[in-house]
Amino acid sequence: MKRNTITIIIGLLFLAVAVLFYVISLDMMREAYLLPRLLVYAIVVLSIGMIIESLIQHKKEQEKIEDEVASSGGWTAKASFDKAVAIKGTLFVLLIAIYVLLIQPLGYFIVTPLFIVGAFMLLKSTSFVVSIITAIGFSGFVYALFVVFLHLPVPMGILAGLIQ
Amino acid sequence: MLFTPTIVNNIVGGLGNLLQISNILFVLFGTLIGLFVGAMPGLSATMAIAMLLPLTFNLSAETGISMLAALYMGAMYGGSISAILIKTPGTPAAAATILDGFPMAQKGQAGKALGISLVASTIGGLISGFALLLIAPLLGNVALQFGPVELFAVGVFGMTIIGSLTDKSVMKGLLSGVFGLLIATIGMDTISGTARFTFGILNLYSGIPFTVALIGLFSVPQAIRLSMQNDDEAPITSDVKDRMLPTLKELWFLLPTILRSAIIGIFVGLIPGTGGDTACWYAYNETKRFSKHKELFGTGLPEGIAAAESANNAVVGGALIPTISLGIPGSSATAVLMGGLMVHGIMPGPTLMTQYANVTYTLIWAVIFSVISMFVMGLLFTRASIFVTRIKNRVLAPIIIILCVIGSFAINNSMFDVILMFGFGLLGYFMDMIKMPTAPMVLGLILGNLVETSLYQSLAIGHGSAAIFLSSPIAVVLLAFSALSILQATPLFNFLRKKRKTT
Repeated sequence: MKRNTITIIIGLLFLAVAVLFYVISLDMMREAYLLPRLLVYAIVVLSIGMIIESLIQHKKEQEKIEDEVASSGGWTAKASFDKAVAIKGTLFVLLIAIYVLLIQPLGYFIVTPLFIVGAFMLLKSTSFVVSIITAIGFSGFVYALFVVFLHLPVPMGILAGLIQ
Repeated sequence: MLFTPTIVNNIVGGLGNLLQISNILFVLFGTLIGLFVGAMPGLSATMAIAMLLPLTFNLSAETGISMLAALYMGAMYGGSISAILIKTPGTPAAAATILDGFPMAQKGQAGKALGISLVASTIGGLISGFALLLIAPLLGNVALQFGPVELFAVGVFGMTIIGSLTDKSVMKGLLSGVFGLLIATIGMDTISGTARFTFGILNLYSGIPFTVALIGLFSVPQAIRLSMQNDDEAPITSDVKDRMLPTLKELWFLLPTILRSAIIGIFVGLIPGTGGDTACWYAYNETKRFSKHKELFGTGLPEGIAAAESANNAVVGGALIPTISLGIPGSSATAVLMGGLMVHGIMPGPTLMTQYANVTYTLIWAVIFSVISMFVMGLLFTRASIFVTRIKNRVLAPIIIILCVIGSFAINNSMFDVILMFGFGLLGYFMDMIKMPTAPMVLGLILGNLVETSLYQSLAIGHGSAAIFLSSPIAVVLLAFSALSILQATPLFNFLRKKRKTT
């Protein structure tokens, strides 16, 4: 996806949130809606400004490309977009989402080592054996740091009764 | 009398607090972590503080914040290790160190380059620490006279300046900040006592936890970026074979550069929205300008390293001055430090220097002590930290995610916070893609309550009239600066500037 398109999507997203907050604020008393509404007005102006700024920039870039094409007799250096890299990034994000969704039901000690091994394999970080050693070592280290040393909670899931 | 007996008592009390063995140990630990984290090219100081913030939840506020400040200081020096040895800045604040640091290492003087960096960082850090100790109480005393009108103006000034000083689009910077302020209004409204924008979700009644937001915004985007980087080729690492510490003669020669750069660092730190990454370039360019042999810069000149490194460590103390005296963070890293205080229920504002004096003055001494600790740790562990510069980004990425997930869960023992953190992380990633800064959004979340309460109180004093903001000269000046910083981002300003040029 082009940066320009993402800018417009984020601009529209902020705009939509602002409008939604404005509609909700219609039922509020003055003390509660005063600042949110002022901010909503500012977001509307800034979001529209950002979208316009992005469109102008896009137009300039297009003109520049057209000029380049014209001056090089129809040839231009097209920005190469590495699809493989994008797919790897997307898969990593999906892996994080799965980790976040499963950590509570299955527990830290099952999901974290699996996440490390899965991510290392996906990103080709290390060999399989090193991945497993790192997964066990790092999961143990974080548990010791958070739970044993700092007395902070980690989600234990189905192993809750066994370990604690 | 500039320093009242109360201030002197607080300064002495803060020193006494810091000298407790647990605080000293955590400062040493923070410095060491900072040194290693700074040396890893994939991690910035801000991100490391955000990621390790949950470690401080069960510590006392003084101990936790002292450890984080030490981490910040240590990371500023640590960044130069990879800049000098592998030509990759460990933190953005060490970008200018590469120019002369790497060529020096290539000439077989890696130890000397690291030693100059360590000494310059130490002197710069010490000067800024004492500047913090001298200026913050005085500024804090002035801020104590501030009523709601001035506090509102300070909040607006901080927001607009951090939004408009971005080197990217000012429009995007301001939008990020205003959006942060808007989402800070989610939750129970303290003024009207009603729940706002909670959509019936119980977890949102206490508002968006800023710690969760800042972990997501500062750490997850970097982990995603690192996962997509190709680091198959091992970087060329220079060996450290020569001695590290410069001779007294060399130090004497570098001293004017170090002092000038320290002052630059303090001033750059003072300005909200600018940090070590700006200061290092500014100091480097100034040193080059003052030099009689400009042409030698970039070939391995000790002054180049000294300038950049003194300035980026001096930023730490400088950026903490507005943070603790006014409640306006001077850099992204100090915004995260502010978050570290808020976890313990300490809210930004002038009360930091009075109501929470024990914490604040301990923090000030921790900054000074962390410089000494950084010097010792630097001498002992610089060679060891060379190994962490070799850790691949693709190994770091999943590790960062685990620390983010476990850290955000630990805040409230809640999975909702983890999902929220991930949501902010994705938002941060896309914001980064379109070059929209995330720091103003975090500042908006931090200052939201202060801005809203002071706005409401000011209007109550002025019987509902906004003219109340014109009654205070301080507020008028700050709001005028804010308006100016917004106006300079508009097409009208560009039009007037062009017109002036043509006439």
